[in-house]
Amino acid sequence: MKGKISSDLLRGHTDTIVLGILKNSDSYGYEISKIITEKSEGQYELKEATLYSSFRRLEKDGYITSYWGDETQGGRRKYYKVTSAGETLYLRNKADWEFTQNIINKLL
Amino acid sequence: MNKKIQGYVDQLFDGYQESQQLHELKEEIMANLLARIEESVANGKTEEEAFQLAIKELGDISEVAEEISLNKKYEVIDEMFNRKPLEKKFAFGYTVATGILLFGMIVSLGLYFQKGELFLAVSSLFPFAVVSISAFVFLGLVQETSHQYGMKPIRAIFYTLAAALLSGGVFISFIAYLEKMGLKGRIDSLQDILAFHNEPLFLALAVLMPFVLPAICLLIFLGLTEKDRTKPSVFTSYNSSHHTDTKEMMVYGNLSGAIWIFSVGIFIALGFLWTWKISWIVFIFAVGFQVLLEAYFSNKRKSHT
Repeated sequence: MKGKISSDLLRGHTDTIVLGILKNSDSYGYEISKIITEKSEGQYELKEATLYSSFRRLEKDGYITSYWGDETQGGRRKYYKVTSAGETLYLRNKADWEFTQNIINKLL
Repeated sequence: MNKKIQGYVDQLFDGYQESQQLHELKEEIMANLLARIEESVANGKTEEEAFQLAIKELGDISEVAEEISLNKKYEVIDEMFNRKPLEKKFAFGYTVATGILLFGMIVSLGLYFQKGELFLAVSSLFPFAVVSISAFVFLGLVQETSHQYGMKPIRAIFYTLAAALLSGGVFISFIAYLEKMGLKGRIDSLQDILAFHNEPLFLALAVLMPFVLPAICLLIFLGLTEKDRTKPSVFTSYNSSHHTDTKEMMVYGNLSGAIWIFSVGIFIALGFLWTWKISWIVFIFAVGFQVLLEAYFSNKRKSHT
């Protein structure tokens, strides 16, 4: 039960997590999900489907853009790139989170 | 493995209306699944285990699929009420291609009038025409229209190559012909032309072959491996109802075929018997007849519905 709740909480931050990863370098779905698993030391595994929803949301709102890779074998990969609006959103969400974290820590 | 992944992804989205967005999402998912599977296999899993693991990691895609199919509906409604203007990059590309072609035509006409040499005029038109034809072919194939998805750029490049080969070959062989004939813009009399016609024509054909043969092979290959890019939408079915009368379409096709065959015949006959300078006017009449025919048939079609 505990795992379920925490993953729900985490899911609310998917967009920010994705932006944070893309801020370092352009990337594609599988690589991003791998980075998330690695960074969370295997404690959080995001379903790829959640990522696709996130990509679509972020792209629609202009926080990321996408382009096709030039892989010749096994299908083209879709790469995502963060826009300057995306970077701003990332910084803002991060600041919001730190603020919230601080309060929750005091309250709980 | 590719086939298996494709089958799986297709089946995942079974029942959702096909659209460019869904098409791209499928491609994206497939590439990611494949990357995941390849890595698991490299880490010592069997292909089957890797596949099962990958689809487990994929999770529930119905949310995205739902959203896309909703988008598609909006798109259809949108298209019904306001047509999307051409994407900027395509508009730019078409403009540049047209500009190149016009520039080539002006240069070639200028040269022709200044020097009076057909050979020079055609040679100078050649690079411009080939570049702009290729650009038109490429842009036309990659562009998504209301009835068709865009083609993948790599595939479109092959089509473009074939088109460039074909048009380049025709130009080069024409240039070789003119050069050999030594025609300096004057096409004086039938006797002159017929007197030493065979050798240049043979040369022209010989030059044409190495261009046309690979182009045709390429086109046949592409044609055989072509996927249907037609969009299954309200519009396709709406539009196709215009063409349901196959007999009428056949009559239309035959008539327009006849117009062009006749006009080519008249063009050649007039050219040989009288003068080439005027005979081309036949084609203007042919275009006129074609337009009239189209007008007549579209009018008839409308009155049916």
